[in-house]
Amino acid sequence: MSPSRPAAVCILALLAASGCGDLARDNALDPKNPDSSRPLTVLLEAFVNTGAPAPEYNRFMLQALDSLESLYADRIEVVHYHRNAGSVQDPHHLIENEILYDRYVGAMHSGVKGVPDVFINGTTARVQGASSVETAFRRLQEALLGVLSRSSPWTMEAGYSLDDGKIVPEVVLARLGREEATDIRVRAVLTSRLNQPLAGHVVKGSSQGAVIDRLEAGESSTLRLPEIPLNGTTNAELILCVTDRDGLHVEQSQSMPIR
Amino acid sequence: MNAPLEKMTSLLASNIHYQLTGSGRPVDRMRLHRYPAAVCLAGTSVLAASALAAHLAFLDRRSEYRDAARLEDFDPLHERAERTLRLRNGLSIASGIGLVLSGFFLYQNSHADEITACEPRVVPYAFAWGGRTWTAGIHVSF
Repeated sequence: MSPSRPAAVCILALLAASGCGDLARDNALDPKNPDSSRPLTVLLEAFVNTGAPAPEYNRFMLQALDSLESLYADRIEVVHYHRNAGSVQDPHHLIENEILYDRYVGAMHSGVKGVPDVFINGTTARVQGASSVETAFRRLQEALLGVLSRSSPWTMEAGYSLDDGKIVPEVVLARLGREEATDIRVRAVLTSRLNQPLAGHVVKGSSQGAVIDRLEAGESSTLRLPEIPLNGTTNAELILCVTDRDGLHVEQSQSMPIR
Repeated sequence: MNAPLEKMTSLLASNIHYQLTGSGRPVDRMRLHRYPAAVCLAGTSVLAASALAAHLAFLDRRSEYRDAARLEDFDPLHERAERTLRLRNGLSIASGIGLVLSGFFLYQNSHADEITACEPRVVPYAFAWGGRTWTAGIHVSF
């Protein structure tokens, strides 16, 4: 046998070996793993009025939300949209809160307005009214448990930059699983923890965010959302959520403190 | 000059030199060709050890990928683990080929053609068919 023959066989085998050996994308969090998913973080948006003399129902609901938050701290995000109700003016009322509330109520079969009114993952579930803290907690928990067991085909990594008294939310959004997504909106809400009881997540501003027309399974997209004025907000938190284009169904949410 | 003839010349020269001068030593046999089995075995051992090291490195890197949680980490960690996997596979296949070659060389060396400078050993009692006659007798070589 010529000595060059075995050498040639070795080289050919090594070349063949270098071409094989694909490693499976088996990390459950990796968007390129077709079986990937993440736990759903549920967004609870409470429309309340705490102006004087506000009905105590609002306090019941806010206390119930506080209890719920301590129980499901890592699975839910809570925001308080304050709004004027009837003749009771709320000092934290924002016009964009009212616009969002109108859109949510308009999308529900029962279009009755009134505080307190809690929307769970957009219009996925709704709990309106609170006769006591216990009743409100039970109703909220029942509605939440129906949503909490789901997983989400979305993951995001939130960030922000500060620019001349404004906050610019930034997010890397990735589509998990096997299916593409179309007409997605990412919106942002700025909340503040006030030095008052039951005022841990008061909305101080929001952005309708950005729309993505299409995102393939396993694909990521980096977004820079429209700025939100800080207006001297302290103890702030930024909440980002993925919704459908109309913003009525929330599919994932995430919060991060502003330092 | 081809290799067998060169070997024969060398063997013959050694024996003539021994006969004429008495120095050196008589050479009664010489293999025509020897394969580098020892070198091949040593190389195979190095390749196998490298394949084992690459496998251990691959296990570490696969764990790093599986433990990743940040979006920016998945692709680089997966690529790194995959590169190590390919290296391990290449080294494993090379080790396997080396092992087969070593076995082949050892077999070839144990069955290699020889040039002999003495009469072949014969059994003390021998017989042979000469075409028309049978011959039998005792043959002793000194």
